[in-house]
Amino acid sequence: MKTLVIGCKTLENELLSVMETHGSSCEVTWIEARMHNVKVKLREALQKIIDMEEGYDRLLFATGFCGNSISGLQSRSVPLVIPRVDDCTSLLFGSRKNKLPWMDSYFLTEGWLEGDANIWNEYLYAQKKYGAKKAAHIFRTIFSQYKRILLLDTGCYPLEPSLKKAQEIASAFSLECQVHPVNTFYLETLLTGPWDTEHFLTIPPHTTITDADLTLIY
Amino acid sequence: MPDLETLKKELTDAISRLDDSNILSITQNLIEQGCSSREIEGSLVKGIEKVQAEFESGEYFIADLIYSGMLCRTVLEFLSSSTGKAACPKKGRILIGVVKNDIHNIGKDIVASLLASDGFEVIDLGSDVSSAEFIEAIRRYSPQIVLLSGMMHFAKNSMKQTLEAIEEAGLRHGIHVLLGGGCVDSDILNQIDADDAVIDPLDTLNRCNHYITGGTDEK
Repeated sequence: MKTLVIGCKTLENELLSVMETHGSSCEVTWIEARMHNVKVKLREALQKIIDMEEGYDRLLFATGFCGNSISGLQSRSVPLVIPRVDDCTSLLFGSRKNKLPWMDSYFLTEGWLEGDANIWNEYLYAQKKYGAKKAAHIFRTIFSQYKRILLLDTGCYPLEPSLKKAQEIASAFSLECQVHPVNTFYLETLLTGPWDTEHFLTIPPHTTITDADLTLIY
Repeated sequence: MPDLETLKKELTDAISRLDDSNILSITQNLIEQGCSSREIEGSLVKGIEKVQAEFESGEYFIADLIYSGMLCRTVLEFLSSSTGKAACPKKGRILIGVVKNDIHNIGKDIVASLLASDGFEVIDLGSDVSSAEFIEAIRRYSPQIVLLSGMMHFAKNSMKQTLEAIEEAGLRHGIHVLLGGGCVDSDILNQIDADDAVIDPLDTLNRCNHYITGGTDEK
């Protein structure tokens, strides 16, 4: 069976690590993190990949439901397998339920810190554009819902450099900084199967995904 | 002095350029020329829509979205103080909050400011608001409208649960429940038995006026 994995770029460390562990030879096509900002664009990008599925037997989504971007996608001649999680952080927590106690946290991994849409680069952009005082005001607003920066230790990247950066960000916005261990079990099951209906949404060929399909694992 | 239409366009352009240097003087000129609060708010919303479009095209970033909201709040507060709306009796009471497990509050904050500026009493419950908190607030404040906001896909589920809890508590009668935010799509009212779904801040303002005053929609 020839498999294409659609991977969120923020999960690159974790996905490549899992693939290496399992000796997977799947091909991966990456979705840039900034695509998350606009659900319609993310949906278009995903549909474009699905439409070019030629030569594969199935498509595995190393993503979550990511806003409403999954709803409305149409499978072509091969099935789609999608984890039943709201976003990629829940993939690392194992479920949204496991993440709920940490909803007052701003999540980071090395993948997020190095991504094209990372929060520190946005802060530097705002400082340059609006000046230090206004940028601080803007980011106090952005972080008003959060108590801490939570660096997710996936075991797939060197922790120290990311922790240093996370501490710098936390300090700049008067937040706590904490490291929290998570895992890649969900990603491993995505790669290896079996895809039970509790954890994975499997869309048969020539089917449109509807909201009714998008129930989450709790 | 430029004419009314030119001034309205200048205000829209200033918001879309994220330029705060003249927004209050333009607003003052609009007020002096007899421009209604609703027209000024319309110019602001057009500016925000342009900022949103720039964000979607990748030209602007989240910081710019937030800053456009701040600029609008500055104008709206100036408008309230200049027109005395803030001191007038409120035309209706609206409860607003981002539903349980969702914390995306940028749009909600802009809508809350817009509604307050238009003369509504707005009770803002913040983000990640549980069904129980909505129910407690409905009992405490007796609003005419409850606005449930949500961004994430699962927010629809939280909206549904909140609405069901309101009904089970016997509080549904006499209030209008509106749904808004990024999770709202054309099918949402087939899934959730709310009174209405709103697509943007100006639409929200128009629908709230419609439900409370019976006024005509301006959109």
